[in-house]
Amino acid sequence: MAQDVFSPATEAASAPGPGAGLASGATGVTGVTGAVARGTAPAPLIRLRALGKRFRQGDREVAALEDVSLDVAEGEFVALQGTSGSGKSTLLHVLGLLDRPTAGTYLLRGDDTARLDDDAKSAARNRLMGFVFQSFHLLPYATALENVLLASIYRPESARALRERARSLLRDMGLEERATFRPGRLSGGQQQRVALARALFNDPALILADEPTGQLDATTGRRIMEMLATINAAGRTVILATHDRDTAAFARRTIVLRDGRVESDVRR
Amino acid sequence: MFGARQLPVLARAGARALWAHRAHAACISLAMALGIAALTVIGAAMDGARQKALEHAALYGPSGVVLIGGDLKNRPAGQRTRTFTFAEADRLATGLPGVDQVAPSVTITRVTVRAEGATHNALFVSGSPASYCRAWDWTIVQGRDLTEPDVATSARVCLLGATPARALFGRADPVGRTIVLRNTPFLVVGVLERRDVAGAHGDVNDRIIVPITTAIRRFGLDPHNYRVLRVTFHGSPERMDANKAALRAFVREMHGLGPGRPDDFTVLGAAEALDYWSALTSGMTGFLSLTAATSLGVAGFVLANLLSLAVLDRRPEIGLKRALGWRSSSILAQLLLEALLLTLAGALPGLALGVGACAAFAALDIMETAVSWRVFATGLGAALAVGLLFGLGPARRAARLDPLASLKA
Ligand SMILES: Nc1ncnc2c1ncn2[C@@H]1O[C@H](COP(=O)(O)OP(=O)(O)O)[C@@H](O)[C@H]1O
Ligand SMILES: [Mg+2]
Repeated sequence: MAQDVFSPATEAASAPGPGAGLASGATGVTGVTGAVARGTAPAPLIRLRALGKRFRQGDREVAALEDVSLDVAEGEFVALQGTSGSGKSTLLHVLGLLDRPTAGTYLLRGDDTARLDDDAKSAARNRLMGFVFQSFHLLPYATALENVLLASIYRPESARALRERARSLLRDMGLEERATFRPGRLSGGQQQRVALARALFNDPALILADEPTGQLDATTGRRIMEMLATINAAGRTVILATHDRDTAAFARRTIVLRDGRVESDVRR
Repeated sequence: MFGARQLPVLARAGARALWAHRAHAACISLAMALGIAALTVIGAAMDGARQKALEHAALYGPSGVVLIGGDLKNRPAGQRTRTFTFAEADRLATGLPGVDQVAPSVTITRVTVRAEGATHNALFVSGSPASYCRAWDWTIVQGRDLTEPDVATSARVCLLGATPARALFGRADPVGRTIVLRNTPFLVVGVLERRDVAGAHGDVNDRIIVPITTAIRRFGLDPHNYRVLRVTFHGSPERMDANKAALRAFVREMHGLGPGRPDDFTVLGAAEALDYWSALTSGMTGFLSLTAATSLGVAGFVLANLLSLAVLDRRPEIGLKRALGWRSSSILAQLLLEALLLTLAGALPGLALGVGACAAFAALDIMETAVSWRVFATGLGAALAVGLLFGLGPARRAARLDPLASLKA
């Protein structure tokens, strides 16, 4: 059961699942799902070249990212490490198609993301990615189950089947008894596990986690990191931003950012 | 834009969000309810006035008109009102093609009637030739109509309208009983049906009919001239316009009016009665429409403003949904559905409130109203229109929010 939930859908197995409709966007996202079929060497999941992001603050410009070039292959577990303000969140937002770079290119499974329109980016976020945030981002008025179901909006299955899937994900997170609780009645660790269940709902290839343990105590944080490691072990790519060396140690590759530049990139 | 399949999901999401923000939602719905209540009362009042106009027009019957001496609309000041003679009535009856009945009418108003100890102030007493009911489209419910012998012999007989019949005799049958008008006893030979119509001058059932010869002699009226003439036509009501035109030409000729001279008479039929009533109510209608538009507009602005505030409030929710891959069109659809839900939630109690107010107005005799399906349809339609119109702006602004900035808000 756990294996099924934590591992990403393969191309073949995804027929009715999340990947199926991504190509339906009229804007050429086909490569996002179809890179393997091209016959050439498979494009990496993520390829950044000379990526830059500048923010304008009044008449001053801040370079949050400078000349970032790196590849992330399918199945990697990457920690973006660095002090506060080093650009970790900005990079995750760019990777998550929530923000657009001001320089360089970002290829997602070989597709130039600069060419995706808003609906195509939404589709990619919905089917290809799962987000986990430091502050959980659960709807306060919705139950744990309803929060998980927020990711299900474009799924073709019956409402009942979707609820069943959400329940089973919560069960995998050890939250079976908490399905009808609102976030206010859940501990921080439980809330983050609800967010994890939601991130996994559409079988994403990529999990983006921004300081997922930032608001949790050490033990609870470790539990979340172990879950991310399990998710990664099952084949999903996980990219994690953290300022904390111990948290970063869960990953198998650590990219250290300083002032928006890649300072080091080490695999273990 | 978005699949119809998502509508239930979005509606549920919208309803969920509204429930979570129910204080806001209640304000919006309340404003809407008041607007729709006003609209309902106004619609019912306008329908009521129209219905009254139609009923009043129906008094003329489908194939009859009333010819009145003098130009009622542009009466020249100080000019003596032109009247008709009995000879003219005869000429009309024999010379006008298609004519059925020509019935002169003389009237005295506000007459005290007594009968066996009871007293009643009748609105009017009319003198009529034979066959009053046929000429004026009334029905006899008890007894008989006026006859030729009644008129020929100036018989002291009368027909009672339902109001004097009830006032003088209660539930007893008045036929065969005697009433006293201006010191003259009259035998009641018939009773008219009750008509549920508000007349221009009061209760249409408050009338007493006597033979015209008797009226002229007993009440000391002009034996040659009179002002009101009832004319009915054969054939279908569709021919009424042509009939009226022929009548007008005939009377102008009879009165020797050359080209360019104004009419010295007025022809009143159902159409004219409707015109008269709509002229009378158009001022009120305009005022009420303005009130309705204003209240709905205010409700719409409250809706738009509160919705904008709500959208501002809910930026994290919108940002989160966008981050989870909701398309902006789905955000738009959810908020529009919320706007529609809110307006409907306001419209239904608003309609109930409006109908209640109408019932209260009717009970207190303040205003005639007619609550029909039209009023409901108008109320619901207006609510949905206002919801869409004023909800669209905030919904579009929400859909265009930057996902990341809203997520951080
Ligand atoms: N929306 C923004 N507007 C202006 N400056 C920003 C914005 N977001 C981030 N920055 C700046 O970009 C730099 C990197 O920020 P961030 O990516 O949040 O760093 P980290 O997540 O590593 O703490 C910081 O200097 C921050 O002030
Ligand atoms: Mg950060």
